[in-house]
Amino acid sequence: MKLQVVTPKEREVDLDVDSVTLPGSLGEMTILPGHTALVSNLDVGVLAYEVNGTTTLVAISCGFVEVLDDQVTVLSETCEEKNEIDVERAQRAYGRAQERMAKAVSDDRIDVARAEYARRRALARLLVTGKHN
Amino acid sequence: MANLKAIRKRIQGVAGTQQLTRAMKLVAAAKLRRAQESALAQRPYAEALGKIIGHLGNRLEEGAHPLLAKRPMKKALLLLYSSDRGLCGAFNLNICRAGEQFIQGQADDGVEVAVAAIGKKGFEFMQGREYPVVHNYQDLFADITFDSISRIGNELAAEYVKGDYDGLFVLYNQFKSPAVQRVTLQQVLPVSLEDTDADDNLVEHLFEPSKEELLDAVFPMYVNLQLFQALLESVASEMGARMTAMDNATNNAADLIKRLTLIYNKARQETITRELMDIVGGAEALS
Repeated sequence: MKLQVVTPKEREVDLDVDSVTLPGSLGEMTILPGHTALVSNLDVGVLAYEVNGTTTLVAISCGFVEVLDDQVTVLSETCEEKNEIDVERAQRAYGRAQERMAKAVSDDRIDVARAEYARRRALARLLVTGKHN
Repeated sequence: MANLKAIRKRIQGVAGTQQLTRAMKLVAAAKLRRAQESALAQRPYAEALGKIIGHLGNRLEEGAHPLLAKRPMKKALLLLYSSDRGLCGAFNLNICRAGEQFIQGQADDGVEVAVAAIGKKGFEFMQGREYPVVHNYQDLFADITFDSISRIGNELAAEYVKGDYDGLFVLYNQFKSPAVQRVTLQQVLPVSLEDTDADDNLVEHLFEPSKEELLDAVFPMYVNLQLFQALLESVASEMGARMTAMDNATNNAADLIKRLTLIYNKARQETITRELMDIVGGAEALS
């Protein structure tokens, strides 16, 4: 099964995989070879693909996936591998987003959706680096 | 003697300018390469998105999504791609003149055009001629990201849906080669499905969460992508234009230096001859 991850900046991933797990907007889904044709929205989150028993994680932001004839094409605005992520920055962003969400209860000037998006994005980055506790 | 000194100073001045233009040319060449690379790099994404829209979009009705809605054209928005900086030949002037022509042409058809400017030069031109400039986007060029263009795209799409205008046009310089740019006008809104490759004999896809929600996500993305492509083309064109302009300037400076050096040497020769004549004349008078 072929996996491609493309962003407007570059083609990030292009290889043969055994399975792909994606952050679908209805929940996590795993695509195995022979999957039926599918188009789905993707949430910001972690994409995991498995090759010969080794799993690799990358952080993606909102996008789409198309599955057709054992070809999985993921379109995302960004795609970051472990070594591209600044852990400290992600941790700070995560803390900040959580603070904002907590404050949002009493302060309606805060855009909750944006804070939540920032939180999930930071969380995805931390999960990829394995630094989330 | 004063003349000689003045020429020497002039030569030094021109040489200084030449150094500057040569450096600018090299910088533009490097930036051009980067811009070309990113223009190539987004192509797989554009193709993949085009395919998805093709699958979603065949047999789509006009009413399927607000961004597809065609309305009688009364007000249009022109997104004009210029640059923040000058010294790039006729790059900005060409695009601004084309913009002006478009506005006047539409006015003849009874369509009011408002301008959204990307880049300082286009903004200054349009404002100077008192065309209505409703958006002014600057500082995009230091770090060209899809994110910054999405913000613009989302804002413009929201205005379209709200009915602030009935059509969005982009006007930008398309990159042909470093020396050639072509001014290109393209209609982005309402989204036209004609140029996506719809394929009728397709496997029936599963749509998650639903076709409608997917359309809600795909179309804004498609609009943003078109704006992004135009930006990359425009930046590559700007760098190409600057490279060519600075190359010409460097060559002109070299010609000028050659000519001045010739004049300088002639003047020097004349002074020496005159001094020799003086000495010879003086010696003759003494004998």
